[in-house]
Amino acid sequence: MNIVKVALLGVLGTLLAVQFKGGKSEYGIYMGAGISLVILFSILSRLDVIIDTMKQIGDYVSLVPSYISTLLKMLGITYIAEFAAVICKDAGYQTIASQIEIFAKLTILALSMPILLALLETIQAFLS
Amino acid sequence: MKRMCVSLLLVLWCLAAMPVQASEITEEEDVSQEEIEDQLLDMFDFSEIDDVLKEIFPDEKLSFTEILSQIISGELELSWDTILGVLKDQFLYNYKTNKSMIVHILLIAIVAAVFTNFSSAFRSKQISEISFYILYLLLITICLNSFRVVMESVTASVDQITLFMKVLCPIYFVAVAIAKGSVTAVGFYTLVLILIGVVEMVILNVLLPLVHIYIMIKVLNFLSTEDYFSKFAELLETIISWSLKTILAFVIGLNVIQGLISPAIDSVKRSVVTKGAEAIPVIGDAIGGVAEVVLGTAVLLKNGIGIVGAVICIGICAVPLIEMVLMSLFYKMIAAVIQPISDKRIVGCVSSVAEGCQMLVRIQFTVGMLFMLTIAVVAASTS
Repeated sequence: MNIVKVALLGVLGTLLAVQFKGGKSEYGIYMGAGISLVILFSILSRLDVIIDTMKQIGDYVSLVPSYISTLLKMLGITYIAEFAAVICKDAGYQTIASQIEIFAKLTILALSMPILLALLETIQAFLS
Repeated sequence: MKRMCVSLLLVLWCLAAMPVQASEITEEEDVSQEEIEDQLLDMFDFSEIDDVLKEIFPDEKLSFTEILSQIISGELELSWDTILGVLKDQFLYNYKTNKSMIVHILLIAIVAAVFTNFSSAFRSKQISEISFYILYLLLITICLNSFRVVMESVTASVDQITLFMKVLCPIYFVAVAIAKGSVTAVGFYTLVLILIGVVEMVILNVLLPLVHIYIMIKVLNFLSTEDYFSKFAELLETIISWSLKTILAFVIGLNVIQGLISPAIDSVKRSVVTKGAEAIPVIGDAIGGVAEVVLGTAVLLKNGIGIVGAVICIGICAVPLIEMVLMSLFYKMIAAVIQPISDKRIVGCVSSVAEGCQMLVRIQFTVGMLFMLTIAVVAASTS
């Protein structure tokens, strides 16, 4: 899928959904969610390039591999959380959206704890 | 920096003024002068100094007596070529050992810039923070490791210089006592003992650990975007630079005062003795002549020992000094190169390591300066 297809899909979907706005607005939301899902999965083929590049960059600076996978996990979590939160917001459910965002933030925090600890340990090693 | 240059010039001037005595002795007295020189040299025991020299410079076979006799007879050649050669070797050696470190820091900075841009695609700031932490972790490991190496070499060289002075002083001041008199020798000997004590206590035990804390504070400061510890770091910097200046001023002041008073006392005592001897009829003139030759030789020997001591002090300080100056330059260069692309905290971390190296340069320079100034003042005021 290239950007032209994605753009066409998005704009057509939106135009179609607008049609439902007067009577059955819930259909519009269903359509929005469906099209978003399609676009979300179409990006997957591009992710390989990003992951490979990150691994290569990590090799250059001799980054610990587990750190890179942590970073990638975090990227995934933010992506999914933002996606879900935006759909919820679209449907008018702000509370659920913000809950998803908070959940994502806390998950990332938990993931990043080992890195923070390693950082502090390094500093401590130089202090003693 | 200006102060450093001025004090360096002062020392060079004093050192340059020293060997003049050699030419003052006329040729007729040459034979007897050599005999006296040998006899005087036999009085000193240089074996302890040689042991310490072997410890400090394990690769080169340095013998204190050899350098001394070369300097006294004016055979020691120190051309610009050898000095430039040493400098070039040092530069190449340091560049080679630090090359991978430089490349690594540059890469980390670039990768940090890429990651920051990458994660700005999302609204959440968390990812850019975490990726910054990961790279900062790598960065400080590299920076602090190389800083620790420099720190260790400074500590070692300060240790060596005090060790060397401890064995040089007894001999040097015996020579001073022969050449000028016991009051001067005792006065300056106490001074040098105080100086060694100050260097060991203040510089080795207080200032060097302070530089270490300064670096850690700086590194911690750049961990967060807020400026939490910069004032504390400034305070440490002020304490370090003020104490160095105070020590330098204190030692110069004591030296100058000592140099004004005690040699004068000795001159009075000595002139009473020689004038008294010259007053003896018939043999008086001969005694006066011999006394003059002996004294001239003693002064020559004393200045010779002083120069060798100063040269070895320079030798001990020079290598770590060059290493630190180069290191500081390397870090400054890296900071200059990465500033346009990278996070300002990474730039700050790199440049703070450069500042730490500069502080070490100042400490090392002051330590070398203190001992060389003392030797120079002793030599100048007892001639």
